[in-house]
Amino acid sequence: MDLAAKLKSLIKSADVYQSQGLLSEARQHYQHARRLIDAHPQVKNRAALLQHLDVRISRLDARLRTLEKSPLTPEVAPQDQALIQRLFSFGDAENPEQAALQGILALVQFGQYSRAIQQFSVLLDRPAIRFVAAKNILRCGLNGDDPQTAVRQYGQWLADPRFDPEMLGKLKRFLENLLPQKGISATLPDPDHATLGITLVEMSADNPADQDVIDITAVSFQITGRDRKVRRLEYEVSFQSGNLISILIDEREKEVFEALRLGETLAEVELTSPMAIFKGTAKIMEKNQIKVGPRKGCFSVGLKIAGI
Amino acid sequence: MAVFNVKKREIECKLVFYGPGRCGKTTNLEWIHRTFARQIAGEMVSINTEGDRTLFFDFLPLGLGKIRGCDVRVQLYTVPGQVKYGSTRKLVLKGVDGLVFVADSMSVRREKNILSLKDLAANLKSYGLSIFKVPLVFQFNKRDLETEGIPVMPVQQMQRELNRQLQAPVFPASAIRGEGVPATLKEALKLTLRHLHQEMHWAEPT
Repeated sequence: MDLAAKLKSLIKSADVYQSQGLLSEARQHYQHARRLIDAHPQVKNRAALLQHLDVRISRLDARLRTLEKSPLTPEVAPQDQALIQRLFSFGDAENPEQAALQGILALVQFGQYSRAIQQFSVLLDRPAIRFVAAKNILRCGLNGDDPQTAVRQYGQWLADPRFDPEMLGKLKRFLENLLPQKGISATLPDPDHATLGITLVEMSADNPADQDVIDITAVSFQITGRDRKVRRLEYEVSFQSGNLISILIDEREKEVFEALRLGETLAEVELTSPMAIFKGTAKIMEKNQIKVGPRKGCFSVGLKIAGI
Repeated sequence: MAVFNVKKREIECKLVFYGPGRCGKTTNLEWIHRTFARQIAGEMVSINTEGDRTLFFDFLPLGLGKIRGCDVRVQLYTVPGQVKYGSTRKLVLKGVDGLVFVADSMSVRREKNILSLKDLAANLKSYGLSIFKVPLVFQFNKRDLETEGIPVMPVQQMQRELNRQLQAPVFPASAIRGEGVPATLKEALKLTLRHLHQEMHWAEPT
């Protein structure tokens, strides 16, 4: 094959490869043609041909750079995300909680982290899968555009009544294990027992002021329900140590339990004692759902009485 | 994995078009979508990148109607061929019932075909499946480019390099023209449904 025919064949092949989307192969063939022209000064229109090839090569380089830089898993349209959930949920349809998780995990696997976080956040209201949902929110946060999101999210949960100190401790350890993988060094705050929960040590604290509080048999307070109506509720005290009391809320009254926010101080609390009814305030120190025993399923709320 | 509803006499299975990047997997599905309008059970969905490369997958649901007393539905998928989308490719392969391996006939893509086939075998293995046991059909695509002076590998060479051990059915094709596409699909469906019958006994006796 003479030089002109060889050049023509190389450039034609490169054009076809480019049309097929085979950019590297097209580039190689243009480069090959360029080297041949370079090596043969007798080629007609040499300068124009070289310039023509340089333009094509630089355009290909630009396209290749764009492709290399393109994110592996960009966020796709909501209808595509819905399709991904429908097609790639291989969960147990008999178990609605597992099915819900599996659907969102499909989004995670396809890198649709923002949408997955939105959907996992809804599952935080389901105690049975709250921990799994929370872990996945942290994982999605770390894999998203801004890994610090996960650290901020953990910080927000510290004041979220849905998370007890034990769960927060587990989430802290989980996040601490993942952070180095993302090259993040952060000191995560501990679930603060002083403000977030009662410990037995605190309950038996030798604080003279605590010992002075009289026995309280019942407590009543106001809450604002989801319907924005204010209701006054009364509960028997199940346990008392000094100014720390515990009440039990029936599992059917989940709305009440959720309305009580950890760290919040309830005003206008009425405290019933065998002698009289006192008015005071109560800070919410602990919130738990009882997992074993005859009161299994009930909610336990720890209150610190003040301002009597 | 196929779902067989015994009560309703319905079977739904998954056929995946696999192969290296830019080999013509999406072109196959587009041609099927255009040509088999009567069997199309929904819209074809392509999740593409800006450069028109498959990002996650293409999806095309087909309804084949009643076959031996059973309503047969097929979900056709393509995987993203680019090497960097390895994890997505593996996800799309999950639950596969039958495969079409689309090989690019251009000589410059010889190595990519071999790597993609190895990738397929490895991904199947990760799901506990053997490439020797999953229904598989080869399509040697872009045969038309030979007429444009582009170096194309002889079918015998591709057979030797890709299919010597597997001995799967082979169909030379030009997906852009539709040549070889229906034959490939028909054979892949036949093998897949036959294989599923051995496993699930979905078809009524003739």
